[in-house]
Amino acid sequence: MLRTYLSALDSETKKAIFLVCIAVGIVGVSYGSLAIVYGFPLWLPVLASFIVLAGASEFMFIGIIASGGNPFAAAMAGLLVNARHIPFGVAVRELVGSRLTSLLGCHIMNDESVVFGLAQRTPEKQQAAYWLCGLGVAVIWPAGTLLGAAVGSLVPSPELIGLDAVFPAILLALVIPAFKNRTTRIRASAGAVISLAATPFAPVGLPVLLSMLGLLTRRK
Amino acid sequence: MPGTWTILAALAVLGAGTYLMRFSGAKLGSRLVLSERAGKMLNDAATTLLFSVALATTFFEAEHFAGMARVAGVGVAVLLAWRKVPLIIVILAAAAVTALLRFLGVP
Repeated sequence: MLRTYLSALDSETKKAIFLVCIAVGIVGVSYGSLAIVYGFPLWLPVLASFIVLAGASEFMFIGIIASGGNPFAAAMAGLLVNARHIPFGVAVRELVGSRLTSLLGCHIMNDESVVFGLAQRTPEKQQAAYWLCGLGVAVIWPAGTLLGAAVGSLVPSPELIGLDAVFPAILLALVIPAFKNRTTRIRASAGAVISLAATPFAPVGLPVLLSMLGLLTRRK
Repeated sequence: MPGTWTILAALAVLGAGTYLMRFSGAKLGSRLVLSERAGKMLNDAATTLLFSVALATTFFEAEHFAGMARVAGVGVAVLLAWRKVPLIIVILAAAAVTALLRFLGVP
């Protein structure tokens, strides 16, 4: 199955997915070592990486608990961050596979797999990119977390090597071509403005959801 | 630090809830019989979300400004992507510009 996916994609896309996975792995290492610094047992961030598989919400979860917050409040904050997976799921419904496959196909849904999937031109390539990126992240995120939790921070911090710029950069590079369509451009820009304006005031996760209001603009 | 079982129960809530969100979106989507217009709207929804996530993570770290180094790195990357430079160069440039600016003392 993986072989078919690999042959469906051009080498540039494969290399880009590979680089993004490396970046995810390094952030995973820093997440694992941070969890240990916070005083969590090794297995906790690793288990969280496997079952949640959504980095931003995991950082938030352990951060809130470590600073004395209620664990269930931390879970709720994480769920708010992850709520965008509902509309993501609708958008990639044809990429996740059917029946049993879709159980895994849904789990590997994240910003990167969605954006790589939707950015491709044919349905085959879309599915291939979604799965390759999704599976890559699903393997390397827990692996990085385990490495970081076990050995501590052995790689430079993600910020030091500029990795925090990589994730928004790849999302923008893959989303912007869709802006050739005027309606898409107007909706997305309106949504982004709303969400950026709300960011300093609303709890993390909510501003991104508010961007959906941008869809109401220019409904023709 | 709360007890292990409390943390595990909360983690189960986060994990199960996240999975349910992913699953319900995909299943709901595949049950809808969509007009072409509605389908286009859903694609725009994903684009809008991704664009907002991208801009939020470009400019903000939690509720605070993320600093000029990251903004400049992403800016260079977008410029390169717009000029149709290969994606791996776009990715490497984002990291390199941001890291270099930080090295030079730009926050």
